[in-house]
Amino acid sequence: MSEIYAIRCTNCGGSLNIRGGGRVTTVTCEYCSSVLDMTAEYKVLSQFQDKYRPTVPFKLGMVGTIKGVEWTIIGWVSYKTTDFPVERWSEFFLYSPLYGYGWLIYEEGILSFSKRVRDFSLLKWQKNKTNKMPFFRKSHYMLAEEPYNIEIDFVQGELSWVAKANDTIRCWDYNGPNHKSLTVEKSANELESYLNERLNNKEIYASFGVKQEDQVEEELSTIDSLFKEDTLEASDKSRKSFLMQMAILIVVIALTIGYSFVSSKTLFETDTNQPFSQLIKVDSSAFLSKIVIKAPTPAILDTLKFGIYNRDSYVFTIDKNSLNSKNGNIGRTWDRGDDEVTIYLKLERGEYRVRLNMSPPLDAYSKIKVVIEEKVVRLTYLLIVLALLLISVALSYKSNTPNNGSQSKSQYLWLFFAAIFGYVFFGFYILLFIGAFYMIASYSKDAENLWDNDDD
Amino acid sequence: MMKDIMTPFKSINCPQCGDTLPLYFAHAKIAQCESCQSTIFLEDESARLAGHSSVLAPEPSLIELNKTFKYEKKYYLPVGMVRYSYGRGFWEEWWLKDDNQDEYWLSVDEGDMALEKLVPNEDKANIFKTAKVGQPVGSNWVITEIDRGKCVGFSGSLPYEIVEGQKHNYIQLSGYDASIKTIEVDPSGVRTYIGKWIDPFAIKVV
Repeated sequence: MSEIYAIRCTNCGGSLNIRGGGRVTTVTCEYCSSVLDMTAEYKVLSQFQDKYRPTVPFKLGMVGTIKGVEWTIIGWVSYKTTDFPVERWSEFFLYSPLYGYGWLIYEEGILSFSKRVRDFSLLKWQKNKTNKMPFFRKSHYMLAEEPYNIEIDFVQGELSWVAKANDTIRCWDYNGPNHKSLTVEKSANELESYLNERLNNKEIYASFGVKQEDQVEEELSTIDSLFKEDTLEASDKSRKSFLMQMAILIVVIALTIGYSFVSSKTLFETDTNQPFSQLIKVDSSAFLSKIVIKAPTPAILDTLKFGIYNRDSYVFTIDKNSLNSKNGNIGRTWDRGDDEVTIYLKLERGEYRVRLNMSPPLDAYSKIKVVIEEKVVRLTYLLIVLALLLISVALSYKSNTPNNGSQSKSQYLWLFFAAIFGYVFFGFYILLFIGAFYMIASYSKDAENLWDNDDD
Repeated sequence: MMKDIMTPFKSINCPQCGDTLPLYFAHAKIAQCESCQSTIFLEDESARLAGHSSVLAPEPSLIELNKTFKYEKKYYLPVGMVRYSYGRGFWEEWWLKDDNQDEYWLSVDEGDMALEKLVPNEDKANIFKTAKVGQPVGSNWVITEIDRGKCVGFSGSLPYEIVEGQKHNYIQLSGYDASIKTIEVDPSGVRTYIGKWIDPFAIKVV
């Protein structure tokens, strides 16, 4: 703990305790809010009277441990942003005889430790302020928001600089890894950089002896409250575990869906110069069937008539003049000069007869290639994958969640339901995606290549 | 490594009290006997008593004389310390030996720490006449502080002679790569040091 000595305020005579080291230069009287110059016989430099006084859980003289070091709160500054919406927070000036000065930052229940860092190159930063990703102590930091201006709202106790009510400070905040951030502050006289680190409220309140009724907790979002653990590290682990599971799930489903669009089973394939009639069997109605007809020349393609039929009647037919579909006229046939046509059709599950006719007959050297493919990955496979992943996620949560109290159990349940909700939500979007694909496919150029039916 | 770093270059006996005085560098010029607080000038092979020096008030510090600490995979042994006053407070300059037998200076000022190494001097004493804060020096440096310190005492051994009350002027410069340069002048001449700021939380006392 630091040494304490007491003086009298030169303005109002109130008693002031001086706690903090050789670098403090001012002390602000808690009774009359006069800022006294400790380097010039405590003459009054300015006053903060009638200024807003925030309600905070900490007060001057409190002693606590942060990062394994004992600190004494020797000063208190409240800041506010100058732009709308106005944000306010308090910074408590800390002193340790071993580690010098630091700041305990309090903002709406969030606690952080901040310490000036000298090894961040402010000269380089000044040269390249547009760099939104400075590198510091082996980590990248990213500009969190546009630079903003702040001014002092309230001050009390000792500081290592002269606080003035109308002084404006411009700040640049950069977010880094592991709940760390970097702040560059530019005032009229100084340019400084600070490294900030999120703290665990429970530990800090206990260490500084903050009464239970004075302790303020951060208002967590629903998602954040799901992952809240006793320590920041444990919360991170819980969140990372969930995100990892979701990432794996999304990748697997995306790969499965992607594969479904490129994978296919060939139902029928032939190279022929003769008319044919062939039975095919479609196993699934989940995806489109693809039909490719390729002729040696456009003139030969124009001699062809192709049709698919079920027991009762045609499903669709196509030739150079027209197409006809059981579901109505959905487009036009191929263009003059084409020697190949690709058709996507939604065929219901069942048996079909495929017929190819040509008039006049082809010579022996002209071959027509006809390929009919069915997509092989079905929605049911996706559901199986989802079910398997859901089970694996549930098992993972069970193994990762400490089974030592009702809070953990309720968290486990929340996570489990959140996961199910996530999967259902994601599945809904998959269905939307598939529906959109059908819609687009129905109106695609290839679909337009279907021609009017001249079926018997 | 730990054993090597703790091994003195040689030991002498205090001419005042006869106690053993370990010396870690061959070029140490002055030492204080821990037993009787005598100041001893070291001249070639002899030790000359210079008088009795005041005992520095103990201050809490991460760094302690003859206690090894580790920083970034290297061990350092503080073998001497000078305390300077700037009026309301003080800062300390620690003379260190690392595990390669190289010497460094560690400046400790209210939690701010800078580790520097003596480099061949390229600056002249008249730089102090024209220096201003914010003034660029060459293409890599900018002057960030100009001040004066007054020696209030020392302990251990040092590579140059110093007496209580002796004042020295110094200029501190910041580099574009976050490095630090200090130019100081006192009756023994101009010295230049170059190094870097270090994180006090990264220091582990062994």
